Amino acid sequence: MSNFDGELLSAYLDDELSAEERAQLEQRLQIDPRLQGELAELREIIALVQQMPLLKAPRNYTLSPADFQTPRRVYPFRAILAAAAVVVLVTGAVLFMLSGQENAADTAQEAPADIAAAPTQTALLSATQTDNLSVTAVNQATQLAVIPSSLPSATMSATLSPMPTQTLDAQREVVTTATQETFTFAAPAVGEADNAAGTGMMPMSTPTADSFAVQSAGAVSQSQEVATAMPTQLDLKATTVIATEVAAYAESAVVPEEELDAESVEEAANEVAEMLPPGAVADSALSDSDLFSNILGAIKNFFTALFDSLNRIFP
Amino acid sequence: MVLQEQIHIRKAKQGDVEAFNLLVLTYQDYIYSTAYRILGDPALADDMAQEAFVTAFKKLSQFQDGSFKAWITRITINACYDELRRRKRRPTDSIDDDDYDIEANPKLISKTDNPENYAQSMELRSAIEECFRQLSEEHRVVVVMSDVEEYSYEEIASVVKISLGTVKSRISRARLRLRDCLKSKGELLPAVYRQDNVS
Repeated sequence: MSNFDGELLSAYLDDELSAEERAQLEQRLQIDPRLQGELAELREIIALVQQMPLLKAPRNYTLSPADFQTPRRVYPFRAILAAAAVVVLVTGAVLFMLSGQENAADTAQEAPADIAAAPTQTALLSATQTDNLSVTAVNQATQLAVIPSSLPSATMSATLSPMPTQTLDAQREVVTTATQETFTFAAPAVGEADNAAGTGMMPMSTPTADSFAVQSAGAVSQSQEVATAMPTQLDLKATTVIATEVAAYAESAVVPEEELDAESVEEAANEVAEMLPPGAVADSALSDSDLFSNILGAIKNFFTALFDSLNRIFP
Repeated sequence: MVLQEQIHIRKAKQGDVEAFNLLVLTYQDYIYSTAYRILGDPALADDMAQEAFVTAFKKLSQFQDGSFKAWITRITINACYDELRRRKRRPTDSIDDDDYDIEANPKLISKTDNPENYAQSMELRSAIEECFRQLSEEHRVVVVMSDVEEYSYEEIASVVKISLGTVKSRISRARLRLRDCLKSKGELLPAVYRQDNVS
């Protein structure tokens, strides 16, 4: 057997030939009995090598735990670091809660103004875009509904110091009244806008639109005064409830009945529902005590996990 | 069995030496046999087997999925090949000397109950072992990797750091030398060799 044939036959048995090489070799094997014999010999050699018996190891190669087990050593500075970490975490948590209450007061002063201003914008838009009244009103109302989701600290603060129910009712009444006034002012502007569209005049240049803007500003101011008087009492629940009511009022008050059809109202309502922050309505259904319990539970779980970890590190 | 092995591996990865030792006991004969086939020297194979298990324990975090047996065999082959290369640089440490002690041969694990078959298998085993030992180190490595471990030519080229063409020619030459050696011991071999030897 030549070296070349030996390599070919060996690679053939190892399935390492290309398709072309394999085809050529198989053609030769069919007509060359000597090549067939050499192939059989190589096949037998491989089988004998593979059947070489397992040998008994002269000893066990097990490792000694003393040589490889990592000793558990307690480092004093680690204990100090862990204690310091606990102090920092607890202090941070307390400061966070306190600052959350202060932030709630700050944001509560701003949020009612936004709530009052939004219907005003709705009214202004309604004066110029009478064709899209329902959609515009719904979008503005939806913005109101989204506002509370940006006020987590206000929510936490309100949850830690539950707000009296009468405060929510009073707040709802004031903001709803302001919204109603705004839309009442907007109604004449809508008529003026229709006229302006017919004559080609800009609606904001009409005296009715100007007076509407002035009176809307008064409504906004009134809302701000109320908000200032109750700086710490706006929470996610209150804002969400109010925003939902404003949305409902915007649909009923701004859009003339003859321009509404069942389909557009349903679409608008769906749009509002989709744009509300997930869980906002559900949150409003939770009692204050439930929310308080949840927060306490989360804090308890945090410290339990922390102490478990410390126990594992420093048994 | 496989599940049990996975549990041992997981514990060993966490530093449990006793769990790793259960893996050692499972594979130590196989690992020693592989080292011995490549090196042809019992004492050196013993050292390399121990070294392979120590290395495996230290690098166990690198073992992900797949066959633990294949993984530790790869470590053993690398350790043996590194040892061969080290000895090549220092020829005085060569293990291919003439003072091979047949009595120091490792003990066979599998035995047959039939005395006649046992005697024949022992003769055949001795012939194969002797022929295998007569191969050069570089031929033993490629034959073990190809025929025992069933590595592809590409994998062999990667471990031994030679070209695919060199792998192909080394394996072919090693097999032909084994064949010629076994033919020279025709009385001990299967029919195909005895007939060929007679003719």
